Amino acid sequence: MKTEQHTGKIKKAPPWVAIVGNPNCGKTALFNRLTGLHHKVGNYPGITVEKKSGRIRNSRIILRDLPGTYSLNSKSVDEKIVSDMVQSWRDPNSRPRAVIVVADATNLIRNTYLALQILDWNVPTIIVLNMIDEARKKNISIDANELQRRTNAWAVIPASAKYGQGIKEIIETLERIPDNVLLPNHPPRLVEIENYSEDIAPLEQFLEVKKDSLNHHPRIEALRLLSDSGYINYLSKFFSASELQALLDITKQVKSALTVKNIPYHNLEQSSRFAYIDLYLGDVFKKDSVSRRSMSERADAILTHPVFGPLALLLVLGFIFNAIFSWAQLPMELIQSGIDWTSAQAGAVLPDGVFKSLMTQGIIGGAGTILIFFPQIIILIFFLSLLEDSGYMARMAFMMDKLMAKIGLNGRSVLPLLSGFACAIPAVMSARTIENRRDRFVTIMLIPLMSCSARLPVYTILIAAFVPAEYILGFIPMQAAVLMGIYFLGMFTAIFAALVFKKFYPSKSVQTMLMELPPYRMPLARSLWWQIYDKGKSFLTTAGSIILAISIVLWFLASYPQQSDSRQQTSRERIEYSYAGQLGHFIEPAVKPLGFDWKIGVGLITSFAAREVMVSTLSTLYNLENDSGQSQSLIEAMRKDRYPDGRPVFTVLSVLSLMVFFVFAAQCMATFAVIKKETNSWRWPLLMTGYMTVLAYVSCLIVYQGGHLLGFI
Amino acid sequence: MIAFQESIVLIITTVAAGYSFRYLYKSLTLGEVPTRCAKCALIQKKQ
Repeated sequence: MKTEQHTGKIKKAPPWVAIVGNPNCGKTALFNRLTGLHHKVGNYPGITVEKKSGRIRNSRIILRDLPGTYSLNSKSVDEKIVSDMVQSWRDPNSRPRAVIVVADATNLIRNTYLALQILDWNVPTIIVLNMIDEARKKNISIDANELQRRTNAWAVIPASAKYGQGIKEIIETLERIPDNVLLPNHPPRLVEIENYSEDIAPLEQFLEVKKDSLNHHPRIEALRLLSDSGYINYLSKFFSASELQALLDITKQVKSALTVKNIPYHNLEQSSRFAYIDLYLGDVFKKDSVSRRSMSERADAILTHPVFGPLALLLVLGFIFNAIFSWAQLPMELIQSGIDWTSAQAGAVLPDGVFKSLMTQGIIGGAGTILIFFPQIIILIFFLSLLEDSGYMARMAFMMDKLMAKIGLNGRSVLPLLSGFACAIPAVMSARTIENRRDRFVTIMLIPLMSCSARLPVYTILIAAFVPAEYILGFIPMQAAVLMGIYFLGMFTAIFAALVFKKFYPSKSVQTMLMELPPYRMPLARSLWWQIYDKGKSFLTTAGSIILAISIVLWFLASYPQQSDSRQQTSRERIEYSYAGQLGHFIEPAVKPLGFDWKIGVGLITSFAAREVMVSTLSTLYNLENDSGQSQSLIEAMRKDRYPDGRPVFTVLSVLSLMVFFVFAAQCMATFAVIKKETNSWRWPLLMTGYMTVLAYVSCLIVYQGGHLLGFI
Repeated sequence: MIAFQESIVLIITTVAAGYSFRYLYKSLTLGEVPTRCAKCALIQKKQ
């Protein structure tokens, strides 16, 4: 165990260790095991798009989890995070104590490529053969000691982050590595297969002069310069302007020489590395020659079939949407009873006055209403986590890949779009996996069209109130079908919007998605629990606090000013005289053509803070409007609400119009902020708000006015 | 009693309004992305 060293008052920074590896090899699962943290893991690539740090349990060592990457020659924003960090190792003071390369033991040849690139930086490297349990099931045997000897890695440790195998050994190995260890120079782990030495020699010799400051093999630097024209930026600070120009000239000459010989200089490093793996490491990994179709392959024959695949997808989604209603019914009724009871108790205990009104009508009756939807949100999150962890989400992406290409999008856009069903913010951030800037920004523009979990309370209250709990054709639950239709409306509109973007902002290049389908895995209860716990806690605390604050402010706005003879007025007259009433009536002409009254108009404004606030706003307004003093459910109040001329406020058309508004409107401050941050420009968030607002308004107008013209009410 | 209740209500509403404005301000000035996602909040903290 290391002891802290003090020099005067300066405390030495704790040692740190980097975790790198291919996408979906279990880096974050290992990070969670080593640190005891609960970062999100999933069974598809691209979950981690940022650096994350944590302290190893009972240790001073800081662990940094990095996004997955297949190599250090990567270009997308998330992969570049890894390349940039590795480049900083040229400065010995920026080097980690060690690097953990997590390799998927079931696909070691591909995973070893990155390990070799890391090993060539001469930093103590531990290769963790993760998912060793799965490899054994597939009859893959790996000689870890031999792999360590041949690669000259610090250690090679078989492990299973899922089941906690090998974790203790990894921690012990990390603790034993001294600080600032200097490894002897090892020849680059490359095998020259194209006879290119002579041609690249001038470049190598030029770089050799700066070898000490570059701190990396001149040959590897030369190959990277040939494969990536942007790589010179990493070297620029080590050369003067004239030297840089000379370096560029030599690179150009070498490229010409290789072109003459028909040697593909872009892929020289790849072919040389894989030749090394083939020649020196091939016999370390052995696979049982009996080739059987795995369970995943057999399942995929149906689940990714061109006809049965989409049918299975529809069934899965139908089941989820039905579960949102049927499974949540009992807990929702219990929560509703709890809120009614609390409201009645508060009403009985508190003396009459404004404080009682704030507590019963504003806080318990307003913000408390949102709690009723907690079970539905949890069920949605549970199923989304299940789809991710089982590997089915990756199949959904696979099935949509062709469609994406047709609408001018990238195959990599699918997963960010699908994760938009939970929350747009992490979805926008996960679009970093898309290399092409145009495709990334267009994907970001489409993500808010995916109905996030915050919209669920609005949809379900409207559906529960106005869609009968009956069956279509005797077996399709009508409420679930309407909810599914609303989600599909967002998806189909995203496809249409992508086509519009394609027309006005066409893609200059086609980026194919090279995504390896992960095997189906039984989701771990622990992982599911932490995802549900995290989201549930955030809903109750982060979203809950703003919902509570807005509900209090709204209660105030709906209760004041009071007229001196307010006792003579009905509740309805009092609320219409209030600030909220005045605001609502002010905007009513704008929302009336969409089928909304002033109360819905107020809800549309308050829901910009958080979409669920729509529900608490309506609840507060209806509670304050209720003359009887008895609490009434929001559904009941909405059904009974009438315009002064006796017409119902909520009709089939107005409810449909309101749901369509929530599908299309960009009512989320946090999404606006994250898009500004990710695109580093005001243009994109403003474009998103602009096009979605116009889309929402025009669509609602068509639904409501068009419906009227067709004779619907 | 009514004046006392109104004072309490005014304080609670002022605090709630302050909190709401802070939330909106942080969203619009982009110093921080207010998020309901624990993972994103953690990333922001690290940044």
